[in-house]
Amino acid sequence: MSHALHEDHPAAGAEQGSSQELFDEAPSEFVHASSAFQVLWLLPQNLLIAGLKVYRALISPLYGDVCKHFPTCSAYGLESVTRHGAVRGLGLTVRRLLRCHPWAAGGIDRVPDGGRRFESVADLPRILLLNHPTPEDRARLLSSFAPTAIPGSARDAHRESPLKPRSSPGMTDAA
Amino acid sequence: MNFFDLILWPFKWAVSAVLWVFHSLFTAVGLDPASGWTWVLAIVGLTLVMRTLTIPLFMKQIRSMRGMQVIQPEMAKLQAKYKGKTDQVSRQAMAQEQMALYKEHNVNPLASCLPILAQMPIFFGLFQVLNGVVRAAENNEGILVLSPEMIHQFNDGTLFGAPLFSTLRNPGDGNHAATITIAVILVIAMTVTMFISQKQLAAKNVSEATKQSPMYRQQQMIIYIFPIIFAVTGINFPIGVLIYWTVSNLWSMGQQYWMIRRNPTPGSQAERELNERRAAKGLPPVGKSKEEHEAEIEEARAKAAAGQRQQPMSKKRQKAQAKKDQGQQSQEAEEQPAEQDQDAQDQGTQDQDGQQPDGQADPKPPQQQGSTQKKASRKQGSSSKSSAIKKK
Repeated sequence: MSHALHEDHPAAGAEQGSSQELFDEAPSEFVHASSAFQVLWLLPQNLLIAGLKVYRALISPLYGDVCKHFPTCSAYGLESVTRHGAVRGLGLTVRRLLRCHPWAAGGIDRVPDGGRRFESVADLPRILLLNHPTPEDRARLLSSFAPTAIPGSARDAHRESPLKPRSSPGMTDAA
Repeated sequence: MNFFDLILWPFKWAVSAVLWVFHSLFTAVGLDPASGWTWVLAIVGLTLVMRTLTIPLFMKQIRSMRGMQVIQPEMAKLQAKYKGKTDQVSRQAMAQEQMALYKEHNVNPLASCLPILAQMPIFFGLFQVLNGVVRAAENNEGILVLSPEMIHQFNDGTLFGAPLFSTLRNPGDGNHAATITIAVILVIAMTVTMFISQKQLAAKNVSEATKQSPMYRQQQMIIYIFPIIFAVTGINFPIGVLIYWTVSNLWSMGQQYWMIRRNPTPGSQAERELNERRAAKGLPPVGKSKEEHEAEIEEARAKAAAGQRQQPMSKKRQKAQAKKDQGQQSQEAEEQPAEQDQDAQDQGTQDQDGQQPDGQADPKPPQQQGSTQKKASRKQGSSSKSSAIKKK
């Protein structure tokens, strides 16, 4: 399917091809165990990941676009369980759901840094690619894993979102 | 009592309380407390109460939908930027920018997740109460607010001889033919109403930009899968539960019909239809005052007259367009001289500013061209008409 799309839009250029290929070749969210003990230890996390993936595939589309945030609650849940494990991930997800009520302003609300480390863009599971869709987002994400990263600085980089410059005064005039 | 029962307990309590209230009410009015019809009415009442509770959320969503009109131009730019980028990651990048845009203008048309997830325990509570009636009657127990006596009446209630808690697979000891007929009718009604309300939304109330996303295609598939799942699992649903579902789906259908007609999503087919209806009544498009709308038309005309490149049109189409316009032209013939003057003036000012390069002065956002082609070509028709007048 991806190839068909590719041929449909030859003008779209290399960027589309690369993000599509990146996504197609990305590893899954599941955590691989190296021993029998680990299989048991990681079972809750992997079960939650599986459940969230099923929810996202079957139930989410029924409601359409609902969430007031980016990433959506289910994407946030899947990322937080993938990165932070069953207990912390679940806690983060529940807190996020409580934030996603009709009177909330919404907006960009990312999973906090920390947890599982990923070395390169190619190592990022699919949900991380989806939740960090631009090259700048991915660079910021990877730099947060670097051992030298100071937690505060990473957070500041996050605040100063790469999207800001696009909302130039010219655009507000048009509104 | 396990964890889930603990969470469900308050919802079950509320469901049984509402059933109790409606049953007592209908009994007080003079209906037979043991009749199946009284209980059916109580179930319908429960459905209506639950759906009424969600109306404020629904209205809030519609109000925030109106705020979207303000950021339409910027949304159009965003959609143009991501046009043709249909892979999931690019779509997410677009969603991210869109969310930043909403935040910047403090509008957010989305409903939020919590209320939708909160409806699930309510439904499970209802399901457990209704499903628990048969067993509670056997054990001579009550269910929370409902007394054992009421549970017996509920369990023994029949519709045309079909027990309320009989299912297609388990017709019980009532009239089997009646159970099967009623259950089949209800399963079909439930499935069809669900399909229609989903389809109605997806077909008409989705903006062209959303239709491009992979999510939408997945959703289209699910629209067909879910009614099938419903129809198959429906054979296990008691008639009482089927009644709840059918009434609830009918409610959604009505609510959506109202929303699609009166408050459609910006950029959707439903919005175009609404604007066409409004135009027929001489009203400006949604979200614009009459003056704004007229000023916009005037501006588009001026720009077209200033020598903006026209979208090429085949001879055949030109002819068809001319035929269509003839009727209007004779009407507008009297206004011609005034309009010509206006155009000439406008052109003068434009020349002073220096000619704008082609395409930039497009009065319509580019991404809408595909979607509103019909309307665009109509507009094009009227503008080519005015330039034709000038040539004369």
